[in-house]
Amino acid sequence: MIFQLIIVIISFFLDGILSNFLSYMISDLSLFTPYFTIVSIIIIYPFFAKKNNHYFILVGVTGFLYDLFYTNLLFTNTIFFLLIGLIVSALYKKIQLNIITNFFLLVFVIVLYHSIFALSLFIFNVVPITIDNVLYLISHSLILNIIYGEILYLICKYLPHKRQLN
Amino acid sequence: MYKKSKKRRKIIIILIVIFCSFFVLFYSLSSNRKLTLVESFFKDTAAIIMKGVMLPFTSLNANKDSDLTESYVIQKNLNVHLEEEIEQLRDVLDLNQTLTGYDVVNATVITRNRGYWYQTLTIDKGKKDGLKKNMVAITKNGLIGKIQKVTNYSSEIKLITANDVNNKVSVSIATTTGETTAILSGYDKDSNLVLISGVDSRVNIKEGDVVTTSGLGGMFPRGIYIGEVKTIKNDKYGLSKTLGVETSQNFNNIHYVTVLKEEEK
Repeated sequence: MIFQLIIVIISFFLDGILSNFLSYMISDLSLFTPYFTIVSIIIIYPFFAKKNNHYFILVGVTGFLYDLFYTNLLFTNTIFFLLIGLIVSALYKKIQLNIITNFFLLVFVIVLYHSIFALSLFIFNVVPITIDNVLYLISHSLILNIIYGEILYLICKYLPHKRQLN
Repeated sequence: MYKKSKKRRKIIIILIVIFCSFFVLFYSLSSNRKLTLVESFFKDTAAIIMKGVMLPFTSLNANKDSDLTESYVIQKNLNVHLEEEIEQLRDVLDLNQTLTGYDVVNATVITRNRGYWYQTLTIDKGKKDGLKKNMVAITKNGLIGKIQKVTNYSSEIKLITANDVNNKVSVSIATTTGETTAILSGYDKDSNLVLISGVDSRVNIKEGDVVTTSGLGGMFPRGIYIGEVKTIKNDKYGLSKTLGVETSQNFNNIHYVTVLKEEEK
């Protein structure tokens, strides 16, 4: 449990640090938008394969903190994270986990997260959103998060805490 | 049979979750929502933690931006004698909306809003430093936004690039024939230009004309620099123009801001 917590905490703070300081390094923040917290909750699921409730508690708390620290939205990401957690738990039971399936899983979840968020904003018409905007955001957040996700996957794979799924 | 009902229950839970998230999001996004005491407490705690986490990185960048930490907008433009003169004129004319009538509070950006399309920033100063809702935030490059929410130790700044329907700024364009006012109403991400709509098509505006806040509406003080006109487009009926204004500020790269606080008398 401690190991999973460490992954989530590091990813959580890296999210904030990189979104503030990546622009110093590459001059455009939007080119590589980090969503490391979401990536980490995807990667750690197999460690909770037999303790689904613990996983959802961790995901819910992470989503709540994510809202507090980074978005100023009330419980929105808590619900989105839980939804992602539910989908990830269902998908993990269907797929054989390897570096390729991990790649597709990461892509799917990032696309899903942006789509749900955009759909909500579109429904309430608070911010004018076009499909172009959504595609732009998706395409610009894939590279960095996939790299991070694959690195995390490899770290988890070769650590003494072996994955319990598959 | 049992499996089927379990599956059905799962689907119902997911649907309820989606419905709840929409409801909560609608409530969260309303700009007039006031922070509750509990929320303020959690936000303050989050701001203090984030400030600690960011400390090594902000100190690394402190040298890079050392000139930005000073209250430059006022000092840059006014010498002591002029300032005295303006103060006297202000007293005589009973003016409140001039730039010299403000104290400045310098603050560090601790987080960028991760959702809501990067249109807000959180700074490490709040009510304890005298900040209030709707105070104006600037950098050395000009106006960046206004304070939207304040807690004891942090504040949230809404950037002028927000495409929010409530985010309008009254601006003044200095043309060769005089001044004209219009509304800053949006931001074009592709061209990185701030958009000004509703400019009378008869007004002669050229590229390079300077855009500042007009002071109308009472929200922003008059004379804060925004940028220079880069593109001019007429609408299809020829009645009004939409201007693209180039700002010197990179909105992806803001680390220090100055908040203008009305002088205490």
